[in-house]
Amino acid sequence: MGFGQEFTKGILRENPTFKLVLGICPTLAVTTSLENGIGMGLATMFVLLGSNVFIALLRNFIPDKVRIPAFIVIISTFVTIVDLVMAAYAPDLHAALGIFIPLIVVNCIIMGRAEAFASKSGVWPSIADALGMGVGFTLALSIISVIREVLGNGTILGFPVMFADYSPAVIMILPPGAFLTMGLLLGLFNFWTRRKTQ
Amino acid sequence: MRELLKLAAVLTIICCGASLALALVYNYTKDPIAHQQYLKKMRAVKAVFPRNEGAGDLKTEEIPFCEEGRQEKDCRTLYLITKDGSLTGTAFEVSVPGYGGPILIMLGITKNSDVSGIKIIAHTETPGLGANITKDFFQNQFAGMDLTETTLSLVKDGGSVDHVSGATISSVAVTQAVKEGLEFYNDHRTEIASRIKDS
Repeated sequence: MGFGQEFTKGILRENPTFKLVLGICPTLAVTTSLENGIGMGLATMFVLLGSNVFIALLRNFIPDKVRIPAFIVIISTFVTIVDLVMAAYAPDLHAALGIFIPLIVVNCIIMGRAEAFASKSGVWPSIADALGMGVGFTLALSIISVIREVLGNGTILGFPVMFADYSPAVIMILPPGAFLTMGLLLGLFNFWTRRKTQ
Repeated sequence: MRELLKLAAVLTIICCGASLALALVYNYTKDPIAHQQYLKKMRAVKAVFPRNEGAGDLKTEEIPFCEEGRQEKDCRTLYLITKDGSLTGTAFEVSVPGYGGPILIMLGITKNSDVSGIKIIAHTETPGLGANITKDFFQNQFAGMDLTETTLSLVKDGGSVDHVSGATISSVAVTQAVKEGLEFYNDHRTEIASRIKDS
């Protein structure tokens, strides 16, 4: 597969949220508003890019038997570096994304891509894979969080979008709303992709 | 046995590399981060004195303040706003337990012992509900309140603080923090005023 194909597969065909169903914990937790969804998506993409590159570079050096602890050390090192550098030189960005950074360590998309892709591929395809997965994850989070923010708070990115006396369904920004939205979207996505293949 | 040694060696090398990278990055970012945190505090101090904005001759002094008989960890840092050597306002941080963890608030108090403004610096309240305590409509209503009136409680408890809908606990916590801060200030106001350095 070429660079383009590796990139686009993460957006639809192997979408991390709707197709691989990876990283569901942060997905459910942060999608209370579109701002949070986009923030989490971009922060994850950033870390994914770094970890994929490092693991692809070191893939022949790391023995199979200890690959998991090695990946975990590399990923958490990278997450900490991103956290420190952002706090020092981009404090505004850090204030917006800061709470998501520790969550990224436990995001299995990063681990999953390291294990399933970067440890078996070169640096260039790994970059394409990271960007594609990152964009796919960001899009998925945006879709879920837009639905939850509109229904649960009547706003998009903080701006009111519903008619004036709309009374927000608060349940949508509480944990049950996350499961409802995620479940229905997952069902729709599967229904749609299955009909396409038949 | 040889394989085991190899595995251990590889993991050791990776961990050493990771520690080295972290140590270097930490060393380079330590000072900028401390500086950013200082700037953030100063911005918060400025934010709680909106009425004084633009006054160039205001000075902010940072002093440690320990209540008598208290342990060192209970000390506060006070930010004294002075104009021509006299106190025009005092700002300090107050921390209270909220719904999801501690809420850290910068509280600004005028020399007349009423609230100049508050700014929530850190919190872990529920996004979309309790987190709305950082919204302006909630924070700004505290300006002008003091201890002499019975306004420092929620409207439904007979006070004049409008709570954030769906987040009574967070709203009560912030109100309580403001009350505690005002009580602390009132108990120590003469002492605080005496701490201004002669300029």
